[in-house]
Formats: sequence, structure tokens, C-alpha cells
Amino acid sequence: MRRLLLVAATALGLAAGASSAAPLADEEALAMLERIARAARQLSYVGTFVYQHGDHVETSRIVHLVDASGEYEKLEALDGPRREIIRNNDEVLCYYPDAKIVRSEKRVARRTFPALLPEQLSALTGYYEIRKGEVERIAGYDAQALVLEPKDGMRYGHKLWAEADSGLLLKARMVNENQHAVEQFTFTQLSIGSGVTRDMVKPSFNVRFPEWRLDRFANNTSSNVDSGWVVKQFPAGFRKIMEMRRSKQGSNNPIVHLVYSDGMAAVSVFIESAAGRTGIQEGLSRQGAINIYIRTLESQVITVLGEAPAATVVQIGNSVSYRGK
Amino acid sequence: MERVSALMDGELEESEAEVELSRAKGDPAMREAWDTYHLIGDALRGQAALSADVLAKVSSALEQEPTVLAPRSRRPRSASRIALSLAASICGVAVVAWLALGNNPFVSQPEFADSARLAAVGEPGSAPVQVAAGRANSAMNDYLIAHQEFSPSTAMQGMVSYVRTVSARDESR
Repeated sequence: MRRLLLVAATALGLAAGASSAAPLADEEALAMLERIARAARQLSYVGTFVYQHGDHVETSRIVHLVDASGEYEKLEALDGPRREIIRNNDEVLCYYPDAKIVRSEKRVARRTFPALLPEQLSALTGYYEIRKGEVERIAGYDAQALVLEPKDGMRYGHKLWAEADSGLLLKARMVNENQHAVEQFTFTQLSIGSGVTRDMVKPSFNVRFPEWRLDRFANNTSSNVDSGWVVKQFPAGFRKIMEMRRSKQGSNNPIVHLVYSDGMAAVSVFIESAAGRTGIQEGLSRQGAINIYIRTLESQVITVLGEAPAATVVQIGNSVSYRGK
Repeated sequence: MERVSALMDGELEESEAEVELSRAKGDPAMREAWDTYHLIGDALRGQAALSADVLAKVSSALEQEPTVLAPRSRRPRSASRIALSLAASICGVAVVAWLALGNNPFVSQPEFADSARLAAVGEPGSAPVQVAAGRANSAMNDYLIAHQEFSPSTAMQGMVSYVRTVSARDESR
């Protein structure tokens, strides 16, 4: 009996110790995050995951293939209306077969994305306390949890569960200041490594025009764009990681796109002429974990969105101004 | 493959483009690339026809304009209210009230933050911001997709995080 009590006490002690683990040294925390990002980029895998936000639950299938010719990915919604997102290296195509729409988006600068920038990573530890969590079993794999607790209210908290051997992310939860989940991704089934073929990353739809419609949202990063637009008071820890001009199919008005990030969250600022816009809905709204804030400034519409608290997107949106060139 | 892409992007001269087009017809690999890019040239040429179609849709959608739960604004918003209706109509999206989502039988996750209870936020010296009673419609989807590329979550979990973009339901009419 005494021995049993001892075991129980030890177990309790371990559990308590795990939940209040000391913050990791910067290098160790960053190494774990880099390992997760590397696994996402370099491993081939196929799996089913559940995405939850608010009171919404949806199941999707993901296939990721890396071979000599590059990186291919297919995301397929399994619930409700059909939807597929396909990536062939730098190009992202979104298929909405019910609406017969294909959206096209060319990715920028693969040398920097999707890899995290080292300076982004090093800024992380200034604004998040990073701790190791417990080891849990997810989708049949052992996963090491990593907790990123924000040091202020301008960013959400994160808990990441990485597969013990490969580092592949099996589960990710974003929480608000009350520790309520804002969104959560969880793999329910996953196969890593072998068995992923090119056929599995091809679109399921035979697209023909003009029955289908193509929407393109091009970007132009051929030159280092200085748009003249600035955010004067972005929250501490955020820095500008991208500035570019985009053009929308069927519109002659260029759209300025600025991106700010603290290493875990990104906030985009889009600035376009109000004359080119058919709908302006000022105020705050949200799409899943993404907060969206829209305001007009003289003849411009400013749209700010990101996986950050409402206060953060509003602060950024309200401090956008034109400094001129 | 790059030539096909350049062709699609309209980066080639007309004569050059014609050469590429005829090559594409003869070369299976190029034809596949062409199919992959979905005859973008056709779509681009189809835009003129499309705009008339959109106009027709907008006018008919305006006649059956849905009740819109718009955020409060500090200034008169008759013009922007019409614009909002336009946006909703073009996309075939009536702004969906969050409250309607409460009927989902699978919802029993009190640990999840309730979107409807999202606190109004404001900054000192500025009017408080009202939370819109709607969700992003497909007009916002270009932005959501463009944003996702730069989100660190994409670096951490690949395209899994693209499920954040607008669902197919909102894209259909």
C-alpha cells in the first residue's frame, strides 16, 4: 500500500512538473520550431484532419508530396460542399466545383517562404514563453507538446504537438487570453513517408472554360516595392516581412499588400482604391481564427486580417497612413 | 512548363504565344501543363462576356436583396450599404448571421471561444468597433488566400492551415 501511494505521489509529482515545466532555453525552443517547419516542408505524408473553430467542425484530407521536381500538395474538404486547394510548387489553385470557380495565386519567393525566417524565430522568445509540454498519443503517433504562452494580449497562445520521430505537426491549438481555443487542427489519421504518389496530388475536377470561371489575384514582387503606405504603431514584436503590389483580374487598380509578423502570427494589410471595390463593409468581423478589420481612409479601403486578437488587427488598421514616396 | 506559364500570364508577344500554343498542341507534357493551368487564356478572353453576365446577376440579386446585418458605422452609410448588398449579391452570399450556427447538433465544446461573444474592442480616443454579425464572404477570399502564404502557420503545417479560407458553401451561389 505504501509503495502504491509512493507511485501515485510520484506520478502526481511528474504530472505537476510537466504542466509547469520551466521555459526552454531559446536555442532549444527555436530548434523544436525549426524542426516542425522542416518536417512540414520535407516530408511526404497523407492524412485526415479535423479543423475546429467557434462551433464549427470540419474534416479534410491533406496530401503532401516532395520529390526531385519539388513540392506538391492537395487539400480536400471531406464535409459539405466540395472544395480543393492544390499547390504545384509556387502556384496555388483553389477549386470550388459547385460555384465553378478556380482561384489562382502565385506564391512568392520560395527561398524565404514557407520557411520561417531566422530573425522571425529569434524574435519569438521575446514575446512568447516557450515550454515543453507532455507527450501524448495522437493519430497513433507519440507527440511531444510545445506550449507558446504570449507575454502580452496582442497575440494568441499556441500549443503544438509534434510527432516524436519526424517533428511533423499532428495537432495545433490557438487559444485566446481566457485559454479558450480559437481554433484547433488535429490529425485523426496520418501516414508519413511512403505511398504518396503524383496521382494523389492532382485535382479531382476536369476544369473547362467558359463553364468555369478563373479568378486571379496576381502579385508583383519583381522589385522591392515601396508603396508609400506605412503602419505607424504596430504592436511590439511585429515587424514588416513583406510589401508588394497585387492586381486583381478585371481591375486596373493595384492593391498594396503589407505583411507584419511576430514569428507565430501574421497580419496582412491590404490597401486598395474604394473606387475599384464593389462592396465595403466597415468594421470588425472574423473568419474562423482570422480577425478582419475594414475601414476607409479618404478614397482608400484598408482591410487588415490575421490570426491575431481583434485588438491587434484594429490597432494596426487604425495606424495605417500614407507617408508618400 | 515555364513557357506555358508565361503564355498564361500574357507575358509573351502575340506571335510568340501562337508558337507556344501550337507547340502545346503537339507536346503531351506541355498539353498537360496547359490543362493544369486550365486554359487560362480562354478564361481571360471570356471576361468580356462575363461582365455582362455579372451585371445581369447583380440587378436580379438586388431585386431580392437579403436583409443584411451590417456593422454600425459612425457615418451615414446609405452608399456603402448598397455596396455591401452588391458584394453579397455578386458572390451569392447573404451575410450569414452567427446565431444561425447555433443549431449545429455537434456543437458542445464550451472550451471553444464563442465567436458571437467576441468582445467589442477599441482604442483610446477612437469610437468602439462593433463586431459585424456576418462572416467573411468570397470577396474576402482572395485576401484570405493571399494572407495564408505568409502566415507562419503555413510554414509549420503546410497547406493544412488553408482550411481557414472561405468554405465552398460561401463560394457557391
